[in-house]
Order: sequence, then structure tokens, then C-alpha cells
Amino acid sequence: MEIHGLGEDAGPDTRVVRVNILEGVSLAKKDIFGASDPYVRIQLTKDSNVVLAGVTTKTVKKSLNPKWYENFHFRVKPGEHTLLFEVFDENRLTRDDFLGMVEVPLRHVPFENERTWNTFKKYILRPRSSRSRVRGFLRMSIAFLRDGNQEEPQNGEETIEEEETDWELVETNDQNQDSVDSPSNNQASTPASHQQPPLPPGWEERQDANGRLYYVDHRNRRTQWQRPVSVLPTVDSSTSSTTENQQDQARQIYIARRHISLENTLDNVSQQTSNLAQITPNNEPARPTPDTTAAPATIDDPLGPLPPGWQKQKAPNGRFFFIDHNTRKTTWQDPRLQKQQVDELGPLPTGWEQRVHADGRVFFIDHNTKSTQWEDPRLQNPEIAGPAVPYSRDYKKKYDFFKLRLKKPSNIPNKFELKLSRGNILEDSYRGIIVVKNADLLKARLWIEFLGEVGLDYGGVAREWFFLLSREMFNPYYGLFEYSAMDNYTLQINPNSGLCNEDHLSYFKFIGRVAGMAVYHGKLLDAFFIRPFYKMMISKPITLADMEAVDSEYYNSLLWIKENDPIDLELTFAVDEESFGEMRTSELKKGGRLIPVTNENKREYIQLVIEWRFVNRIRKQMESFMDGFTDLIPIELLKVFDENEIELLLSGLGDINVNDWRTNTAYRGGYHASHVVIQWFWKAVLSFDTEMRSRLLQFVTGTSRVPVNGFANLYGSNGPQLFTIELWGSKESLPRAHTCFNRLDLPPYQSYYTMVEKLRTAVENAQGFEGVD
Amino acid sequence: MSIIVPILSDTRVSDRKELKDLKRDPLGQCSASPVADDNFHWTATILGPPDSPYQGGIFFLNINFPTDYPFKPPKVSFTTKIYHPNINTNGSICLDILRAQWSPALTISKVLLSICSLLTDPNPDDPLVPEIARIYKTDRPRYNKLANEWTKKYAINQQGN
Repeated sequence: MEIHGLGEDAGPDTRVVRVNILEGVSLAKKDIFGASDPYVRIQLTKDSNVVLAGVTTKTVKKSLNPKWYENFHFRVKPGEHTLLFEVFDENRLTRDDFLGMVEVPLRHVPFENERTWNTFKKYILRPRSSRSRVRGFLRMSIAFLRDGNQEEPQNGEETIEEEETDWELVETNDQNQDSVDSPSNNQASTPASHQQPPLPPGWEERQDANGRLYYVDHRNRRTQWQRPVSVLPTVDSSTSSTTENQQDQARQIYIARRHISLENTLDNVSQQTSNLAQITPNNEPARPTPDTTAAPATIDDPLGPLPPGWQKQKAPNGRFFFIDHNTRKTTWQDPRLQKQQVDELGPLPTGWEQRVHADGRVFFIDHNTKSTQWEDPRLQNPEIAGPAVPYSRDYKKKYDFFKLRLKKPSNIPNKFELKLSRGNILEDSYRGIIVVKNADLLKARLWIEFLGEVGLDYGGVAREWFFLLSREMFNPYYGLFEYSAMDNYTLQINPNSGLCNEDHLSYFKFIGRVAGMAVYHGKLLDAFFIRPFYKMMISKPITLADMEAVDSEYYNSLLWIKENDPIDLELTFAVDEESFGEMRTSELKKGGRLIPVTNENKREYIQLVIEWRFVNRIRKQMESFMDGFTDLIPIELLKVFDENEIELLLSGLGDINVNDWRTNTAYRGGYHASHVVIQWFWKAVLSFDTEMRSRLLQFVTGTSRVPVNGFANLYGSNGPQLFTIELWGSKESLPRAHTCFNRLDLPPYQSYYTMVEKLRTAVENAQGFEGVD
Repeated sequence: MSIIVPILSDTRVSDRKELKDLKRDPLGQCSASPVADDNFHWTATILGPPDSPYQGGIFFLNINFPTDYPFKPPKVSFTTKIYHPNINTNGSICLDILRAQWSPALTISKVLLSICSLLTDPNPDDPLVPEIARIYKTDRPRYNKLANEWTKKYAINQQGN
């Protein structure tokens, strides 16, 4: 054991102190990518400026919650010496940045015993000068070793008392947050997290409007009440499988989303593969198969066994993938997730057969006409679904037209190569893409290579790259985007992005290029934005109705002004805005601070407030984004789509599980699950194709995205909010939607056919009716 | 295009309006005023209503005005501990007009009056503390006793604590 500090001959009043540095939590960001490379320098000091010894921990790369797990021993004079801990961000070229310091006078350090060995105390990091930007704390255990012939300090009682208020057993999982408010905890930067183990990376603690704590998992865009437990490296990796599963699940959903044009290519693909495809018997659950090659992981799998001939295996990077020995293909997608949806519809019509495509998706073969299709024929059968109503908007036609017009430039190389490491995907991609002067080069075939992984990119790697990169560049953690008012998956541009990242505009241009590349190459992004964002992409004006889904309180207030005389509110044409503690007033028009809002000018006021909230605050960012996007996609061409179609263009169409949707729907105003209108409604939904289902969902919830864990986790602007159908209006009215409450107001129609008609009309003309403009 | 003019926050029109409102309409049960020079941060007091178990208590509250007030509701919370089904240990208040039912026509004096009536008439069907709501619904004398004990302990003679 190496002992720093004084020599062994330094005298009788010395002791050996053991310092166990566990981790740093929530340290300040210094790199532009929002991470630091922190290490700790520990110095034994005397008279506050004489340094007797110094050591440093290793550097943990790119982390604001570094784990060091290092032990040091110092021989000290407890009455005279102090340990100084300074945290730095290691920089290769410039001087290391200061991240905070802690001074621990050794006079009050306890002796090691069985309890203190395992206890780690929180040490709040302090600034060195008024200029240092510091946050977070260190978690350490500091104690004197016993060496038999030394007495415990006289002030033993004091030590014990301190233990009770300050020391914490890492294993304890008490919920006694209120009872442990000792003064020493008051300086914690995150007061509610005291006495708790740190959150795993990517998690954030937040308070809801009622002061209750909840936890946001930015990586998987979900929330929970329960505090997530960080996984220490000693813990067996199987405990982290929930997080892994969630990522996998998100990936499944992403992969299952597709462009509408895929329906076109179906005939070719399925003919090539239909001879090989595994026949899945109708209505019969997959039988357990004594497949000895199956990985043990499948045994307790809640989804049951894999279909015959399939095998689950772990890739070198830890992810599971699936091998279909029947077709000799591999896929990331779990084949079992494909066939849960349609079985309630009864048997297929005669002459039809259901098969699983090589990519795991189900398709249907009509042996009568020798044709194949993705759509389930049972949903087109009028006896089940009623007469098919032609769909007039025809996004598919628009998309095909759009794709045809996207010409591939001549005289460019035949591929665009990008080599990156998985750990550095955002930075590597940014550098690789932003330096390209001639953006036409980005239209060449993408050739993505992850360092250290052998593989040929025939499209799969590029798709994975878009998925992984989406999760980074749109992550609110980096401050370029943020969640809209209340939910935690719809994104908007962060008006303060410039404060988080000086180069933010260049990043927005990069993100615009990536989005353009996704559209150009027929790939998808894994992100959903507020509707005003899509509208701004096609320079459409933003209206009051758009605000409803984004911020219902604000919307209600503006609506109140619209419907009442606002003179008593004594408003002027100016708005206050706070950024990082500084209050500023923005005038909505020149001299607006002195212009009162009256009944006469209130419409102008409402329009200007909306402009300011959605457009002006993020104008530069949006311009940069579009600058990058139009490098690949001409704006006139983009304008063939409306804002809802832009969402489908960027994020694709996903399979929507009607059973799950139906199970997690609430009824109000006299409707109930067995009400005839409600039965018609679900019959209609079943009859809709993927696009129409997506559009209906957009109409009611504002986005076509289904939460990762299904409809049970749907959010409204006031927190969790199930899809709701309310009885409203007369049988002549059109249905209307309240996107902030995920609510559909459905009039009590007299027939199934009328309902389908009205529903379709409402969804297709989703903007500007029923009095809300 | 908006023009950004840094100004002192005390020129905020709406706060002057709030103060006028309070002067015009003085509250017997409640009072409120800005903390020092910060017009975005106020404190308020509510006297426990006479016909409630909170009688005799003086309850302190914190009020924070968001920058987009009056489009967004003020954030109001108790700093005095109180035993009530719609108020939790953080002092957060579950009251519809502070959330979805907010209207820009509401003022701080109207909000405080609503909180007063929430003390007299709790809303156990939309509780923030389900346990207190259960006791309120099933064992009213016990609820009255506990609420009164808390009032005595935390809201009366606070200087002595």
C-alpha cells in the first residue's frame, strides 16, 4: 500500500487517512458537446497554502458523472492538515478547465469502522473565484485507518452525530426525503437528490407542477415516477437489460416505420422471397420449437419462443439480433413482434395466405389473382370493414412525384464515405458532413462505416446511423432542441441554444443536412417535432390553433383574450423573457411597450405573440436548419406536402396497433366501449390503412408517433392523458379534436357510413374549422 | 421583428395592476406583497378561515410570477406546513385555476381567495395527498383534529419555533 504525505517517522501524532473517491455527479459542462473529461487532483495541504503531497486520479472521458473508484492513502497530522480536492476537465491543447473544489479539514474525519467503510458522503463542489462556473458534487469516503495502537479521537460523540446527519449508506433505499433535511445538505445543487445514489447517465430529475419528482430518460424519451438506479460496474450486466430492452424496443419501432413508397416495391421483393419465406399458419400461435441452437435468452422471454427456424443471438456490441435460417438472413427485428395485431379478425378469405417477409413484416398473397400486398385483405372486406372509401389526398402519389423529381446529380463520385466511432457519433458525423463544400456530394450513395466493425453498407448501416444520430443530435441534453411544454417526446428548437453551444448555427445547418439526406436517401429520422416546426419548414403561417397542442395554458389565455375585452389586463405590445436570470422585454412592434392592447387591436396582438413565441425566437436556428436541408431538397418541391405530411416524410409511417389503441381509450359524455358509435369508430379504424391511421392519430394527438410503450403512455399537455372519445355535437357536425387533451369530439352519427365520411373529411381538412383559427 | 430593450423589471405593467387590484380590493383573509424589489417574487399570508380546523393559523405562501404572466398562472406554494388533502409536504397546491383552468383575467387576490375557500372546502376527489383525502372522506373528526394539531404546531406562534 502506497502512502502519500508524511513519512513513517514523522511523529506519534500522525494517522493514515484513506480517501476513496467514488464519483462526481452533475459536473459542469466545458466541452461544446456538453461533456467534460474530468479528473481529480488531491493535495495534502498545511496552513492552507503549503502543499505536502499531491496525487491525481485517472481521467474519465466525456462524462459529467465520472466514476473513478480510486483509493489513496495519506499520512497526515489531523489537527494541522487539510485535503484539497480539485476537479479539472482535461484538455489536450489548452489549459485544463477548473470544475470545482472541496476542502476537507482532517480534524473531523472519523475512524474507519464497518459502517464508514461503505458510506459515501456528498461533497458539494465550490468555486475557486467568483468567475468559476461550478456545479455538482463529489461522492467520497474519507476515514482514518485503525492500526491498533491508536486511540479513537476524543470527540467521538461528535463524530457519531455527524454520521447520523451527513453520512449515508449507499445501499439504503429509504424514501425518507423529508426527514433528512439536515443543514449540511442545504447547499446541494439538486436539493431533492440528496442522500440518493446518482442518476444513471441520460436521466434527469424533474418536478411536476405538483412538486412531485419524476425522472426523464432522455435516451428513450420516457418518464417514470420511480428513481432509476445507476448500474455499478460490479453489478452483473443482466440488470441493465431493462434499459437495453427499451433501446431495443425503440429501435424496433423505428425500424418498423417506413416510407409510403415501400408499398410500391412490394411486388418485386415478395416475389423474390416468397419461395423462401416461412409460412405462418393463420390464427395459430407459433408453436414452441425444440430448437437447440436458440440462445438461452429466449427461454424466459415474455414474447414466447421464436418461430421455427429462427434464432436469437447477441452481436459483439451487446445487441440482440435474429437469424432466420429459413431464408439465411439476419435482422435486428424480433419476428415475434410482427403478428400480434390482426388475429382478432378471423380467418383469411379463401385463396389467401399470410406470410412473413424476410425483414419480419407480414404480407399477404392472393393465390386467386397471383398478387401480393402488405394490407390485410380482411380489412378491405366490406363485410368486416364496410365499403372502402377512396382516399383523396393521396400522400403516396405526392411522395412518388416528389421522389421522381429528386434528381441524382451527374459528375459526383459514386459514394459518400463516412467513418465514425460509435462512441463519438455526433462529433464524427458533424465533422464529416459540415466540411463538405459541394452538398451534391451528400447525394451520392451513403457508405457508413463504424470503426472496428467489419461490414458492408448495403443500406442497413446507414439506417442504423440515422437512428443513432437522431438520438444524439435531437437529444435535449445537448441544448439544441428541447421538449415542448409538457410532454417529453415532441421536440422544438431551443431558443437558448446559443448559450449552450457557440457554434449552434453551424450545428443546425448540419442537422438540416442530415434531415435532407434522410429524405433524399429514403431513410427516416427518429424524432417528432411540434407542428409549427413542420409549418415553418414550408413557410406556412402559424395560427392560434397550433398553439393548443404545444402549450395549452398559453393557448387558453390567448383564446380568452380573443373572446373577451382585454383592456383590463393592461397589456402592451411587449413581452418579457428571461434567459439565465436576466430579464428582457421584447417589443412586438416598434414602440410596442407603450401601445396598450385593446379590443380593436387584439387580433394583431395575438398574431404577433404567436410569431414571437414560435418564429422570432428561433429564426436564426430555423434559417440555418433550412439552409442545410435545402442543400439537398429544393424548397418548392417540399411544398407539395402539408405539415402533417412533412412529419410522415421525415419520420415515416409506423404500424399502429389498433388493439392497443382501443384498450387504452377512455370515453366521455355518454360513450362507452360497447356504444354503437364507438363500435363503428373502431371498425372504421381497422379498415383504415397505415397512412389513414397515422393521420387520424395526428388529427387527435398532434403527432403520428405512438409512445414507445404503447398507447397507455400517451401524454397530453397536462401530463399522462389517454386517447379519449367524447360524445359531442349534432349528427350533422364534423368531428373535432383537442390535441392537448388527446381528445376526439365525435358526434353521435346515425350510420357507420356517415361516420367514416365525416371522420375522413375532418382529418383531411384538419386545419381551421369549428371556430378555432 | 421584435426589438429587445433591456429594462428594469419594475416597469412591468401587470404587476402594477396587481398592486392596484390589491389596494382597490383589500383582503380581510389574505395579504400579498412583492419581496424587496423583485416584482416576480411575492409573499402572501392567509389567515386560517374561522369555520375551519385551520382557524387561528397564519399561513405563509410564496408566489412566483412566470415571465409570461398573465398568460401562464403564477406558481403559488405554502411555506407553512399544512395538513390538507390538496396541499403536499412541499407546499404545492392542487387547484384547477393554477393549472388548466387558469385565465388571464384572474389576479393574485382572486387566487388567494380561492385558496382560502379550498381551506374551508377541500376537494378530496382530486387529492394531492391521497392518505389525507381518505381520512377526510371516512373520518372527518380525525381529519379536523389532525389539521388543527398541525395548525397549532406550525401556523400559530411561529416566532416561538
